Amino acid sequence: MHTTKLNPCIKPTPLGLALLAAWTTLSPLPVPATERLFTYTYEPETMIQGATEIEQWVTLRAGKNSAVGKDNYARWDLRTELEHGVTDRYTLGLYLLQFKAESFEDPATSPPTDVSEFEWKGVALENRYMLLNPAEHAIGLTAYLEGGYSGTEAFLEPKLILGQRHGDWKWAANFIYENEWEDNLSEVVGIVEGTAGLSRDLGGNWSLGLEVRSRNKWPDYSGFSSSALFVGPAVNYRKERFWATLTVMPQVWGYNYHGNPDDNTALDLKDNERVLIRFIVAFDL
Amino acid sequence: MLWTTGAITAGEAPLSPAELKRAVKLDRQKCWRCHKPHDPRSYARDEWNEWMTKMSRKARLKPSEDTLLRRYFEQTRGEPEPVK
Repeated sequence: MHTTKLNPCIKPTPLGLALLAAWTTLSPLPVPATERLFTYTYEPETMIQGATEIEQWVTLRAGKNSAVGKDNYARWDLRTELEHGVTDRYTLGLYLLQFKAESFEDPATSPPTDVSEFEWKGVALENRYMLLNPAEHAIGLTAYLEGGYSGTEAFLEPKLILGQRHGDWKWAANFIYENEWEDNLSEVVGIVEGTAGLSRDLGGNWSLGLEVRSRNKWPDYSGFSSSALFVGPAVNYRKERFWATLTVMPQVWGYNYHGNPDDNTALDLKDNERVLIRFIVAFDL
Repeated sequence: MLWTTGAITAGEAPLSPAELKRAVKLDRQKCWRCHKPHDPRSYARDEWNEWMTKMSRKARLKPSEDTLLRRYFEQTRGEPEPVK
């Protein structure tokens, strides 16, 4: 019988015993991964040094209206990302292929015209540095910086990522400020965002949670033009070498700060859509 | 590689305080960052060793880290059973 005392959580102390009791009620060992439990909200954990992963993102943004000149609106964004754990704390991501496909019906013409557009969105580089490992601190904290360029547009997106695991539960919150240069880099737009998620490990490789996203557009830094709030479920499935996550988030509240350009007082359909659906699938390389 | 044959059985020498400290830190840095903690006593030794082999690869553990963690978890089997 070994007598050396182990990790505080497995010492025979009341706290340790309570935690052990919680452990033993858990399902069989799930397969871990560097998976994301949400699709808009990052978690603070970075990749293990030397690990490499390829991610495919598919995002559908759907639903505007005739008041903004876009009936039957749908926008698909496709993104392929290569991620690598440079160190245990620093993960580098390269967005290699980014495309946007947009389609809608313009009601201003008679008869209404079908409009569709396909656009290459350039390349982007993502950096994540874990300042506080949630496994060693009360809360995890990671700094994130992403920059991208497509020839006519560019953006810089810093964010702070917080999060922690509590047994089968895990939460995360992101605070984001995005600076976009549009229209041949002549127009500046700021976007202030907050996202958060809470998820529960259901066992059997599944997690189910809720994700929230607040998006506030700030053109030319002359005051906000719109705000929108999206809420919806997030489902994650993971196996040893891959994971996949799906979020479906309808807009539950929106506001236009300058009049009512979308003829809708409950939602913002000028700068945002009725629903966001994002699916990410990733494979370990 | 060590993790293909690295199963540790009962009877290993107890970890020294320095090894124990390193093992606890390694457990948190490499294991807890990806999943919740698991109690080895809830698993048959063979099943645990099989998971250790998979996870060791996933976490890119060095052979010396793999051995240390296996000894650490094996040692937890000698601790009192958790209250259910």
